[in-house]
Amino acid sequence: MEQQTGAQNEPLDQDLVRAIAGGDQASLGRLYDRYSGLVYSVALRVLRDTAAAEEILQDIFMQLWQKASQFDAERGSLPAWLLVMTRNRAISRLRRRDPISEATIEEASASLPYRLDNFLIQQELLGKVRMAMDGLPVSQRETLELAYFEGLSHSEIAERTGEPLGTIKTRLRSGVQMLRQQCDF
Amino acid sequence: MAAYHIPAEDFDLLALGALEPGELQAAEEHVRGCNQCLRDMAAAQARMAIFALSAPQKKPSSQIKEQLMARIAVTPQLASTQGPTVVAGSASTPRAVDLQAPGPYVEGRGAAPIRPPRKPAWTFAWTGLILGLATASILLWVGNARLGRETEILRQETAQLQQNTAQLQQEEDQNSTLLHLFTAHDTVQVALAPASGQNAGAARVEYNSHRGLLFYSGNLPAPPAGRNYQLWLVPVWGNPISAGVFTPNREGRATIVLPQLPAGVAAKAFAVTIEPAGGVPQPTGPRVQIGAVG
Repeated sequence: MEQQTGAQNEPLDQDLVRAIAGGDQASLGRLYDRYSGLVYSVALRVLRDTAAAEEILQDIFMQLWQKASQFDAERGSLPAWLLVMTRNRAISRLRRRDPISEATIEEASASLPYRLDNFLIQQELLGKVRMAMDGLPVSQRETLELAYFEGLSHSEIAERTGEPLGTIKTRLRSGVQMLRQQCDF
Repeated sequence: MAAYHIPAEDFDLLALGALEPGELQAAEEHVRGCNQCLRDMAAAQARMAIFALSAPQKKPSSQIKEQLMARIAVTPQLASTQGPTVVAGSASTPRAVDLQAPGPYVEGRGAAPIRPPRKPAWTFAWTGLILGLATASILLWVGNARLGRETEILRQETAQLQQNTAQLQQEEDQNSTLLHLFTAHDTVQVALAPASGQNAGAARVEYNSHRGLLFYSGNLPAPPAGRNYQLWLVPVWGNPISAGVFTPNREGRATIVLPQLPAGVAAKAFAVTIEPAGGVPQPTGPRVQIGAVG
């Protein structure tokens, strides 16, 4: 019946990754459609350069294509890997040093406490996080952004803002706590 | 087991990369050798990924996907356990030259060298010409075969790109329709609760009656064998209208995105029933989720 065309059961990330490992290019295209916006936005926010962000976007998905068979869905989630790796590469490019080594990222294999594999879920979550960020005191939000999007160490942030090192550390920790509480993570 | 662990409050700083270079190196070395700290590090990375979601959302140019798909079409994948690469002409492969016949001089023990009769110069010229033509023919044939293969690869890539472009366009259209559905003032949100006695999760429907747009998202257990779930729009006047037949995925999640519905139908409720596979024109099975409008 015609209404069936509207029913949509999206394949799981791990099923698509498995298909990619078997050489299925269309599955990579589907994961790209699912996550390219998030990956690109993070790279662009860090680098503020369209061409550089596009390059990182392509590199990340090329790596997924080449190493799909090594991806272990039991150990970590794909969006976590994509987001952590993208931010790391972008900061690496911006500051000419790795915030953390890729080997450690791979070994830690983070899993997100929320889902991102659907456009609508993404939109809902993005709205929630943006609202939570907007709800933080300005100094706290700026400190977090300097650390996350500009890759500054706590002493570099202290130097830039003129605040004591202890204050910066406290702001970073409590900012993360507040954000987690407001987003229910 | 490590004798000490990284203090809990330092993991967020470590995952952010906000530790000083010396501290960072020491912490990383420890983490990679300590299972407990590795788990804490993974949790911290997941927490930090929240910030990624605060970046203003931008869409990359559609050309990037085209370029990526073209690149992967010609890029080999790494195997999970890749064996040693066999290189033609390596030490284990006998070289053709080892099997060549002896040269023009054959020397026997104590025998005088046997010199073959001298050939006239034009014989060498003809031989050279024939060898040259043969080599050229082989090169042309190899080049032609390679061009044929490359043409076929290009043809396949072009077809793939066209397919991707069409798919992208379709998805972009769907996304903009969905954005309209979620942001329009006349869209209603309806929460669907499990019907009494049913082991179902919650669901929600976003419905815009003026344009006949609908989105359903819910959690349900797998339906009985040979059955599907079916979503119904219950209009203010008239019989229920099917809004899609579906089966949840392995995680029990199901969505129905923009089913074909007539525009201008005011709804008073939405319900999900269990029906024979493929769906039915009017509801016959038990209700598992239901929600009234307004």
